[in-house]
Amino acid sequence: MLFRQIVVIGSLLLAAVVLQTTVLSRLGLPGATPDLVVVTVVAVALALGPAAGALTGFLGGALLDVATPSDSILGLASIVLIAVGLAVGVAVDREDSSVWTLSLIAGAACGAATLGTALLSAILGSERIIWTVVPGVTLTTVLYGLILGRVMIPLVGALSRRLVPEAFLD
Amino acid sequence: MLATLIVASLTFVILDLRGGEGPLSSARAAVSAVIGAIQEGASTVASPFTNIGGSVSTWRNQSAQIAELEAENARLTEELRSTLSDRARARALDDLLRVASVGRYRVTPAEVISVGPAQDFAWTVGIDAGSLDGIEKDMTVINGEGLVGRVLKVNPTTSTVVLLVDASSAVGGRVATTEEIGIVSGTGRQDSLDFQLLDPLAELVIGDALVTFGSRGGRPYAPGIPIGEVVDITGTAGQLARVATVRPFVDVSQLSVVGVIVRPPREDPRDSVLPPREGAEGSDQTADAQPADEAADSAPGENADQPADEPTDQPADQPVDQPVDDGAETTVNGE
Repeated sequence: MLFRQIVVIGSLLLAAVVLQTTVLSRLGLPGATPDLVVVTVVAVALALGPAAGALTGFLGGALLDVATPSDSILGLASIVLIAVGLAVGVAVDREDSSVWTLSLIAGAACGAATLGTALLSAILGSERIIWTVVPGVTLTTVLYGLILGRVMIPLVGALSRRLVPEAFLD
Repeated sequence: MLATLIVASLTFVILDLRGGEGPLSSARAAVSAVIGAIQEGASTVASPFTNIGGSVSTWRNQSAQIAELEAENARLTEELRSTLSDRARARALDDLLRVASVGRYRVTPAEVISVGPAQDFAWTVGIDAGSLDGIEKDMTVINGEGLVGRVLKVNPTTSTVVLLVDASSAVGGRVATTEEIGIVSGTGRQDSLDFQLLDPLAELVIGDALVTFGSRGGRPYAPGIPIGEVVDITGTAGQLARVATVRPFVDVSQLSVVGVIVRPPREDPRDSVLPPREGAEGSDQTADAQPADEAADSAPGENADQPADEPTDQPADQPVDQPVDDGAETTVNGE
């Protein structure tokens, strides 16, 4: 993995985490918070492949877990996001799909990440998971993920093509 | 042909020069009226195109002027908006100071800067005060409406606050008018808390207000802070599973200015911090109940329900960990 690639991924994630915790979570939207970090992981996995996707997932999850307002179990988000990055990178071919299909995949990834986090937290004994709330949060996170994906996937694609052309999947 | 036309014209000239009413003048008036009507219509249609040459230059000026006015408009709107938000902040701070001075809490104000994502199912916020500002773990966080939560983690300049509504939070609560105690626990939903009375036979009615019971040493919860209002009671008196639903006074989705209680009051402020209740019956009740409470439970001369103008901070050598009540709260709020 190239150093430059890691720097690009790191900066993207830092921006995503800061934006998600200070702006998106304070918009007061119904249900979930727009999950910019998951969408970023999906976008990187689509642009740079499963290895970069998994790395992005790990770093993004770690950043989310240590960022100030978080009180989740450290490492949990990383596990979930590594799975997301790896799965999307392996299973989806960017060239074969329209941008809306890819956005839908981003939305689905957000939903899967939410469900996965809830499930793992419950297994690990978190008292916070209220299963009656989970469906609403999951559905809204899919919707927000779809919208964010429509913006982030082309954006991250263009950024990767320019900044790390050697790793970009054409 | 040409000669005929010239002769006709000359005839017109002569007839006109001769003056007076004739067949020519009436014909002229009629034709002129018709043409005039047409001209009027045409000039209405053409009016936007008149003076096109001149208006191009004035249009430049006007567009500059429009841009200028638009900029000014934007600036004024921005100013108005920031004035409104400043005013809202000032009001929030005022409320916070009122609560702090009435309850004699010594608070460090802070602002909410980040909110945990909802899909973490945790109700936590980040505030812009940390250990450098004297914030420590398990300090109580309030705002002008009442109890917000407690400090969970402290960084040098920021802290994480776990809100009252978080499913992991449990606070010792006291019913303001009846003195019954119980446990208020978060449900993970932003508009409801569960309240379980320790005495299942105790009387509880909808509309009762709850205040914090107070932990030993005021941590994690200082005494006397308004929590919420009972909106629903399930189960009957005597039933073990008798739980009341409490609507918190603090709207957690609208948090901005909060205060961290860096030193709890020496005396339990009892019910003095509670806002006056709507409805004559309720407010009478609170007003009547208060002096009796003060007389019974507070040191004489310590009149906590006066909006104190005097400084709220007591000498630093006061014993901070003065027990507020018996040991029940350690099991309730124990970390």
